Amino acid sequence: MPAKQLAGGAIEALLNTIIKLDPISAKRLQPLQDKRLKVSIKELPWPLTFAFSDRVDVLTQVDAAQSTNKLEPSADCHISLQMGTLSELKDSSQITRLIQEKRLDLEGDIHVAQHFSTLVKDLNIDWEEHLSRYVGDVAAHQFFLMAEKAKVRLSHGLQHISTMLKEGAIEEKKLIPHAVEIEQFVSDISSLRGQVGRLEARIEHLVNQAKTQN
Amino acid sequence: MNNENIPENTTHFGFKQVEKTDKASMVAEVFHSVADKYDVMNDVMSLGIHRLWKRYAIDCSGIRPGQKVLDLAGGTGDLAAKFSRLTGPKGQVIVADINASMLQVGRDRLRDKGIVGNVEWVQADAEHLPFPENHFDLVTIAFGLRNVTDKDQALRSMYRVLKPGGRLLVLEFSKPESETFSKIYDWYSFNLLPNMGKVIANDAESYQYLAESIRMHPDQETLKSMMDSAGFEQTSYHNLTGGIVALHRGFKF
Ligand SMILES: C[S@@+](CC[C@H](N)C(=O)[O-])C[C@H]1O[C@@H](n2cnc3c(N)ncnc32)[C@H](O)[C@@H]1O
Repeated sequence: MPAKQLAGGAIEALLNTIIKLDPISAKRLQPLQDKRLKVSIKELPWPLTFAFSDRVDVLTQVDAAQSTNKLEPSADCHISLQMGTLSELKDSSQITRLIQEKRLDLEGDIHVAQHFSTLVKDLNIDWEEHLSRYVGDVAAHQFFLMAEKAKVRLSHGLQHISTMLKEGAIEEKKLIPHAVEIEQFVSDISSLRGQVGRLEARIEHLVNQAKTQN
Repeated sequence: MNNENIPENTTHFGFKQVEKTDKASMVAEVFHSVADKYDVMNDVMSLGIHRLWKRYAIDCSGIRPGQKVLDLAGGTGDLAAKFSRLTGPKGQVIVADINASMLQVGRDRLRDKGIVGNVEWVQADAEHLPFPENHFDLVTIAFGLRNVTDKDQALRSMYRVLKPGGRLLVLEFSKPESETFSKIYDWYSFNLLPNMGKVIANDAESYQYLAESIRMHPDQETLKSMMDSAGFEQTSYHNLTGGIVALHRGFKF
């Protein structure tokens, strides 16, 4: 199965569904009309090229073995970065800083990257309204209240986990017993064994006594 | 395919031998009868994978804004919709098909999607393309070549209309690479497929024809050498889904 095309198709479908939810997405896409942005994410095995029109088409590169220059989708701008830097791209004013810090490689027309970043940031989507179309207003509202609460609870939860982990890290050393501790443990056990032995003898003695009394 | 003992003026229609002059109209009949259900059947038949095969072809097309594309046997406009966006308002996409019903379905479909600007629809036979020489940057023919009566003639015709530097992409059913897979695939196409055609499109015969025409189509190497003979250079192919489908490409320099 052509896996890259499957991934590319899924990303394309998702992206366009999201973009369509913004009532003026066509206007936002205007500055990118006919432009192509190639994105190489270090953690992903192949780059994706986004081709803009009144929607976004995703092109994937064909297998390296048979790829010649002729087969690569052309692009006006090519950016390479790590997954973690992706979220910082949302602020187009940060692009130059990221380049200076060598966290972003950019070849070609920087405006394409900037417009794309603006597009993603400006997308104005009323999730509640869209959901209500499928499940009705009340349900959608309830859902968002719940989601809001869940978000608060989740962030508390996350905070809790992170404190736990921090404390855990400090206590961590205690998990490895020191030689003295082991010695102590061994002597504890032998004294316990002695006590059990004595207790056993006493019980035996008492049982015998009881037998002779009967 | 074995051509011995076959009279000169006949050709195959699926596994049957028919008069050459009759094949085109018989093929037309098949596609008239499946036109409106063609899309649904495509999805069902290939479990949706035909979309990925087509995506692969598009990924290999190297197409850029402003270029001219001919999508031959373009039927329902599947590839054309993408090419329309990828070539942009300054580009041009021509969908050519021998069958008016298929063109109509495609035209309606693209209009519903809001794609009208740079796409033109032309009823034409792949063997005699009514376009000027050296005109297109890209010619594609997806699942169409096997229906063409004289494939060599059609390939020469495609070569003629391509610009120097242009490329041809042929997406077509081909020969599965492994024996076992081939057997499963045969069973699927000759037992399951016609039955599915019957249930979904009420037309088992057309799907029986499809299965047969797939088997009669030249295999990977044969098609590649046919492209070479037509004048194409740097020809190569890439098997998809175990060779059920292959994408052939060639350049005109
Ligand atoms: C299986 S459909 C493929 C449609 C579309 N390209 C796709 O991939 O979904 C085959 C198409 O080839 C067309 N066709 C058959 N013989 C042809 C010929 N000689 N010239 C042009 N088109 C032809 C048929 O009318 C039909 O629309």
